[in-house]
Amino acid sequence: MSAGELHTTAIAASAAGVRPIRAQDMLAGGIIVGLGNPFLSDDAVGLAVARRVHETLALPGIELRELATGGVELIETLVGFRAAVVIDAIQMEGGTPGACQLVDLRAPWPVLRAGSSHEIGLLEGLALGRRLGLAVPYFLRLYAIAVADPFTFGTRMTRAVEEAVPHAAARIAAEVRGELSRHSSQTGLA
Amino acid sequence: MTQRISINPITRLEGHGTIEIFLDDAGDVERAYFQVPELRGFETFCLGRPAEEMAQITPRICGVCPTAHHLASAKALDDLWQVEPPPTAVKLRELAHNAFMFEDHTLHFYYLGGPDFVVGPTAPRSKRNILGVIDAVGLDVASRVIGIRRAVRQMLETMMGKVIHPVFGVPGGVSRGITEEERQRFLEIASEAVEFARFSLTVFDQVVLENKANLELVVDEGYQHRTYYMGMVDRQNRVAFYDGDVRVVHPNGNEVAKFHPREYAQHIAEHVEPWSYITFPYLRKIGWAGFVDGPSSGVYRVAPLARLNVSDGMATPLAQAEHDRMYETLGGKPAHHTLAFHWARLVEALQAAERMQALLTDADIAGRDIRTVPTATPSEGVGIVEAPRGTLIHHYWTDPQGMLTKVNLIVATNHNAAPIAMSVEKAAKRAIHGGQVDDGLLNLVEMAFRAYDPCHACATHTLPGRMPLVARILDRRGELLNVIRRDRE
Repeated sequence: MSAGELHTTAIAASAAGVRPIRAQDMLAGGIIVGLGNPFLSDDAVGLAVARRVHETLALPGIELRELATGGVELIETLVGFRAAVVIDAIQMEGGTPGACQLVDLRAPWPVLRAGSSHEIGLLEGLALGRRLGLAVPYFLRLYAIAVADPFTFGTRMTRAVEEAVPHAAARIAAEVRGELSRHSSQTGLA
Repeated sequence: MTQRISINPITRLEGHGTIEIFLDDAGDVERAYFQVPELRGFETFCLGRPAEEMAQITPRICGVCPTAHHLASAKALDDLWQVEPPPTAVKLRELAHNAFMFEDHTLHFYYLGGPDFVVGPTAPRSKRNILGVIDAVGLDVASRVIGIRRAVRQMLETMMGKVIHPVFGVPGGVSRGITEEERQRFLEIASEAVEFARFSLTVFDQVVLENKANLELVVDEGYQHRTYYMGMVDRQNRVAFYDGDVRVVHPNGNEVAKFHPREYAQHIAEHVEPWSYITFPYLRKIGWAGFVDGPSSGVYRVAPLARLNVSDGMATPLAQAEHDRMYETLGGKPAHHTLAFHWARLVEALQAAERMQALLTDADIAGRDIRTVPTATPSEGVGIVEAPRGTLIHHYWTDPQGMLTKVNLIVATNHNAAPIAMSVEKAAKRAIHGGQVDDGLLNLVEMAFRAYDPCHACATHTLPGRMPLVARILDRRGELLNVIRRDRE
């Protein structure tokens, strides 16, 4: 078979034992994704908050994933879910460490992972997914937690950020509970 | 009066960098510095931990090269415990590494380097990304990229667990083998990978070789450095990614060194500059002569083109044919064309796919003998693999209980740090004359260092994330004259 005859999405997916996910497929379920590095002090906050949100909601069928990079892998992770909540760290000049904000996806945002430059950013990835006919979530919320030190190796966050984890998680859980509840009995495909 | 220009941020690269450009009294470039912030405390974080944890810790340094770090670490642990993995385990590790090399190289070409060529270096920024590539080459190609990458990643996850949490390489072998059913399924994926790698080279032909402007850019003197080269080779001096000796060639292509991984410190020294957190490795026997190329400068390069330059050829037949075609076009071996790193990367992706296929054709890879349990007392171990971005060195020292007392990592972007600085300076000199800054400065600079596919998160242990680029132009006294920004978008 020549390369030109390949339709790799279908071929590779079937070879790997999974079916390709296209826009026309039924979207299902919800997912909470934490982005960060557990060994880089405050960079772990997205992971910690995501775990707590998942635990707080305790909704059956809502998946939890932790990722170190936010490029293609993030988009691949989100494909197939109707609803997705992504939690990342953000570095802001003059920002209050631990402050949680809902990121306006239409505006520039200096999040640490979802804006990955080594691959593609979240917005670019979503646009790519739609262009390719992939089933990207119709409900997507990106939350960013302001950090003080994402530069030092260590498994402890700085105090202000660590103390902010339960508050940020409670706020996010309250804001997304309604939407995720609607999908809690369904299963994601990704 | 000297002026100073800084560039910050750099898009589509991990880490956070600033480029500072000093102009002389005539308004021409005197020096350019590429700076990245430091990520602190890696060694302190590691010391006192059990050495075997390094195979789990190092893949998390930045998340871009997890498999390469994991396998370099596993090899260092073999050496530390003086244990030889069984042949099946070696084949499994090599399979995982080649799968990663294929997937990473493919991603780089289409998502990172590709936009410069496919869409064109002068295209508006909104088009110089993967979406612009899709517009240029069609949806089908993009679907193939996503599809083959997904299949290979799933194969890696089956073998190693989650890519960022690899549970695979252990001292003396691997923790999990593959079944005969998995071997057959993976072989189908490998065959698709071979076809896709060949297809990628046809895309390169169409968008670069058949495009006069792009080809002129690749062979432009402004994107060349006559440096030494370093890379791993097998016993026949063919390109090797997982195991072998490290070979160094002169700018004229002659071998000047070939050494076992354990001997790396006899050949590599590190230069420190006050303005950078990254160290600048150079060839110890040649010496540090500054940020210059030529036979009397110990600056060397690693990564795809360097690996091909140090080798006598590729380890697989299809890749060998592409290797020959590339050097014929570039006018012989070694080639010093920085932008040809992109081409060499695709030739390597083909070798990686062919190696996957060959390894999976061997039924022994599904064997059960996957580990030699270590019994020796550990003290010191070195492991080297070729990561997509170049030679990756892990060196651990432990007490008799295997607790780390010292750690040294030299990552690919470290090796290439001096050449990257040189390339940035050369690009800046091309774009700035008489104090006038060409609008294409940022693109030219980006193209110069993107060819190396640097990962500064890893090299500096610095902030992974979207890299902003700011050019700060300063005079000789350090007074800021101009700032050109490219913020996160």
